[in-house]
Amino acid sequence: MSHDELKGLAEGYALSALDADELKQFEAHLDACQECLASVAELRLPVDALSMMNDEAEPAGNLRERILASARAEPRNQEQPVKSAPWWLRPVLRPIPVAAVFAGLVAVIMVVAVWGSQADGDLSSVQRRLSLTYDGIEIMAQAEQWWRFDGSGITSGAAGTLAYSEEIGAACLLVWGLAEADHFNYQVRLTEADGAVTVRKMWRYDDAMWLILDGDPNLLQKLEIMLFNGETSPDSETPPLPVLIDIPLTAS
Amino acid sequence: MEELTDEVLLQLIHLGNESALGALYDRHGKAAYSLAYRMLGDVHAAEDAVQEAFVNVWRRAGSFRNARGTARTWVMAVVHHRSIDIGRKRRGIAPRELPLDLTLLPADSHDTWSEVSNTLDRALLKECLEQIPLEQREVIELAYFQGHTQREIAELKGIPLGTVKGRVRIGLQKLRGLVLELGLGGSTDEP
Ligand SMILES: [Zn+2]
Repeated sequence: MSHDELKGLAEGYALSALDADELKQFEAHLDACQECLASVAELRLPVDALSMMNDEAEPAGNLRERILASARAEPRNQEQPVKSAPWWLRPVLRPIPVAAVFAGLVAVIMVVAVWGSQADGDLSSVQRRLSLTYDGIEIMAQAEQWWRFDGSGITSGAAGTLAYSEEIGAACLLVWGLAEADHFNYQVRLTEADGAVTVRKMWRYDDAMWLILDGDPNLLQKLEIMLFNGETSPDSETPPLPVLIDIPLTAS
Repeated sequence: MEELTDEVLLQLIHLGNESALGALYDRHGKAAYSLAYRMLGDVHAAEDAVQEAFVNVWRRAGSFRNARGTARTWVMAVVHHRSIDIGRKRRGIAPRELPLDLTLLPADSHDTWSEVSNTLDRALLKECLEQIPLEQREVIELAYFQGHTQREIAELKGIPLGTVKGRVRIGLQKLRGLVLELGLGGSTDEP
C-alpha cells in the first residue's frame, strides 16, 4: 500500500470503520509514522464530538449496581499483558542513580502504609493520597532527570529527590528521613521564570512527604520548602516563613 | 471523589477500588448510555453495552497510559466498540475486527478540548453535524452510529469506496472546524 493510500485510512481508523486487513496495516504503519499519528490525533476531536451529541437517555437506576456487581465478580490481577514493560520493571532495564531506587522504595513503602491506615483515616483523603503516591511512583519510574538535595535544613539526616518525567510532563518531589514524631506540615513555594509564585502543601506520611508538580521544573526560577503556615495563597497576610530547603535546580 | 480527575479514578480502578468505578460511572454513565442507545435503539441492548464497557474499563484500567484529559474519550471509545459488537450480533452481521489497544491512540492535541467538551451543549454539537452536507453526514453516521465499515457503506450505497472515504474525510474536517469554533471561541490554532 502506498503512503497516500495508508494516509487515507486515518479517518476510517478514527471512526473504527476499517476492514480487518486495513486495520492491521494501518496500525502497523502508525507505529512508525508520525504524520499519520498526528492525523489520528486531530481526528479525535470530531469523533469525540460525535460520541457526545446524542439525545440524553436515562439508563435504568440499577445499571450502576449491576456494573459494580459484575466488576466484583471479575478476577483481579489477571490483566492482559500490555505492550510496554510495566512500570515496576522499567527501572531495572536501564541504569539509574541509586537515589532513584531508594526513592522508589520509600514510595512503595508509603503506598503499603497508606493502604494499611485506611481504617482510621478519612477514606477519600486516604485514596487521594494513595493516588498521588501512585502518580509519584509512575513519575519516578519513567523519570529522565533527577535532582538530589540535602534535607538537613529541616532535620539532620533528611534528604530529598526531585524526579522529572518529560513523557508524563510532571515531577515528583520527595523528602524522607523527617522526624516521625514532629507532625509538622511543610509547603513548597514555586517561583516561575516570570516571578509568579505558587504555594502548595506537601503530603506528609510518617517520616516522608511528597508532592506532584505539573510541568517542567527546569523552567522554574526557584523551588523552596518551608513550614506550612496554614495558607496556600502566596499573598496571604501571614509573615513570610524562613526557607528550610532551597532546592538547587541544576540537574545532576 | 468529585475532585479527582478521570485519570486518577482510572488508577484507583486499576488498584481494585470499586467506588472509583462507581464515580467514573456517575460521571460518564449517562453519556455512555445515550451513545449506546442511539446506536442500538433498544434499552436492554444499550444497557448491556454500557455494562460490558465499564467492566472492560475495570479489567483494563491499568493499560490506560495516556496524558490527562483523555480518559473520557477512552471510556466513550470502549462503549462505542461494545455497541458496534452488540449491534452487529443483533442484526446477524458478522463481527468485526476493532482496534485492540485503544490506549495506543495518541492524545488529543487540544488539551483544553476535554474540559470544554464537558460543558458544551449537546444540541449545539448536534447542530454542528447538521451543518455538514447531507452526503458527507450520511456516511459518517453510517460508519460511527451504525457501525458499518467504509467498504460496507460503499456496497450499501452503491458508490465507490474512494468516494466514501473522500466524503468521510471532508465531513470530519468540517465537523472538526465547526466544533472547534463552537468550543474554543473560534480559535483553530494548535497549542
Ligand atoms: Zn503515514
